[in-house]
Amino acid sequence: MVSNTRKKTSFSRLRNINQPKYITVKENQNNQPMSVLVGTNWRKITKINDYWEISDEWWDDFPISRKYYSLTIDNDIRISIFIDLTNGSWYQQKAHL
Amino acid sequence: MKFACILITNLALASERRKNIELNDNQLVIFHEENKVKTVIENSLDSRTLLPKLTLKEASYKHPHAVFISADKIYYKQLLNSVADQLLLISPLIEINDQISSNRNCIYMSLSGLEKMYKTYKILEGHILKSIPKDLEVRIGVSNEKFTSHIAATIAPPNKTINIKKDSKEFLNDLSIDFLPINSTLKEKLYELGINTLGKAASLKPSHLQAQFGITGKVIWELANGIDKTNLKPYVKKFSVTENLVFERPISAMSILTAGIETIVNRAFLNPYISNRYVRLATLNINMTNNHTWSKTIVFKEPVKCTKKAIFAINTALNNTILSEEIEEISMTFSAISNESGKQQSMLKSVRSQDQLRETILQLSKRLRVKPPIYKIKEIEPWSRIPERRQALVDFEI
Repeated sequence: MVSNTRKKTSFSRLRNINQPKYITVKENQNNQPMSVLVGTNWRKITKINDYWEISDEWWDDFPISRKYYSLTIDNDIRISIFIDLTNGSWYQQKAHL
Repeated sequence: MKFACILITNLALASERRKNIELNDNQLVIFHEENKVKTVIENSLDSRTLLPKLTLKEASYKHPHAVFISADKIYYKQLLNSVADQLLLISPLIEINDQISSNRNCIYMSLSGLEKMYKTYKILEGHILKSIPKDLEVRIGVSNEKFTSHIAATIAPPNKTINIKKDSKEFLNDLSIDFLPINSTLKEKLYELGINTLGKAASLKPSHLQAQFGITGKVIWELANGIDKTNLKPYVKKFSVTENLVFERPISAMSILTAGIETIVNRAFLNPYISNRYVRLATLNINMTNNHTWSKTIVFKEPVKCTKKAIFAINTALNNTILSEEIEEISMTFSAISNESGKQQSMLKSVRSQDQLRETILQLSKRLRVKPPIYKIKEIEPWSRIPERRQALVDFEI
C-alpha cells in the first residue's frame, strides 16, 4: 500500500525574474544609443561605460543575438540596455545581477 | 491500485433535514446565490424535471409548493468533513472532492492492501457503507482507476456498491461520453463527430483525438480506454478542539453571547490536547433561530496559550457585530495548534532562523487565509550568458 506522506500537495512554479523590459531609444548615425525615454522624459546618455555582444542558440528556431550597453544617463544613473539584433528593438535589463 | 469513489448527491438535502426534522415530509429546493444569480443546487423533487442549473425563478414557477432553502455551505462542508474523518479510520489515504455548488461531492479512497485486513472487498465495501450515515444515500463505485470508480458510483443505486471486476475498458465501452470530465462544448463537438460512446472514442487513434482537441484529446482517449494515472491528493484531518453551548432559550443580547463565549473558551483550554500549547485560529459558529449558521474566523496576531488573551481577541473581533436573528447555539473551534515558538539563541543559527522563518510564514498564511506571496530566489542557470535565465523565483515551501 502506498504510504500517506501527509504532505500537502503543492504546485510550486518558477517565476521569471529580470525579464527584459521594452524601452524607447534614440540612436545616432552609427546606431549607438544617444538618449533613452524614461517615463515621459528623454534622458541623455552621458557615457557608454561598456558594451558587449552575445549570440546564443543560433542553431534553434529562435536564436538570441543581443548587443548590451552599460550606460550612464544624466551623469549619475547607471543602467544597462540591449538591442535585439534579430528585430532591432531596445530593452532594458539588469545585465550583472 | 484499487479505488473506491463515495458519491454524495444529496448532501445539502440530508444536512437540511438533519437540522430541521420538520422538513422530512416536505419537498425541498436548495439554492445558492452567485453573482446575484440564484441557482438551484439540490432538490428532493424528480431530478428529471428539475435540472440542477435551473434558476430559482424557474424552480419556483414549476414547483410553487416546495420549501425553498438558501444553502448553508459551511454546515454542508462540516458534514462532508465528518464523513471523511470516519473514512480515515478505514483507509489512511483519501481525497475529498467537494463540489457543493454543483451537487457532485465525492470522496475517493485508496483500498489497496485493505483486502488483507478485511479478507474480501465485499466485507470492506459493507464496512464503508456502514460507517457512513444512511440518510446521505451514498453511492459507491470500486475500480482500479479513479475515473472508472467515479462512473461506477454515478450509476450505482443509493446505499449500494458497484464493484468493477472486469476490465475497465470493457465496462466503459457502451457508456455515453457525457461521463467524461470535459466541458459541454467539447462534448457537443464529439457528438458532431459521431463519437457518442466511450467505446467509439477508445477505438480511435490517440493522435486523431489529439489533432482535434489538443491535450484534452489525449485525456479523452486515455479515460475512454480506462487509463487514469491520477493519484489521490491526500486529505489531512485538521486537529482541532471544538466546544459548543446551547442556550436554554434564544438570546439576542451581546452580553449573554460574550458570557457564553467565555464559558466555552475556558472549557476548550482545559482540553488536554491544547493545554500547554498555542492556538492560532478560532472559528466561531453561531446557529440562529432561522436555522442559518453565522461563522467568523478569528486569527490571533500571535499564537495564544491563555484563555484571557483568547477571550480578549475574540471579543475585540466581535465588537461591532450586529446579529440579525436570535441565537440558539454557539460553537467554537480552535485549530492551527502549534508548539511554543521561542526566540532562544542557538548554536546553529542558520537552522534556527529557518525554523523561525517557517513559523512566521505559517502564522502569516493563517492571517491572510491564502498562501503568503513570499518567494526565494533560486539559481537556475547561473552560468548562462542570458541574464533572465540565471535565476528564478520559487515559492517558499513551508
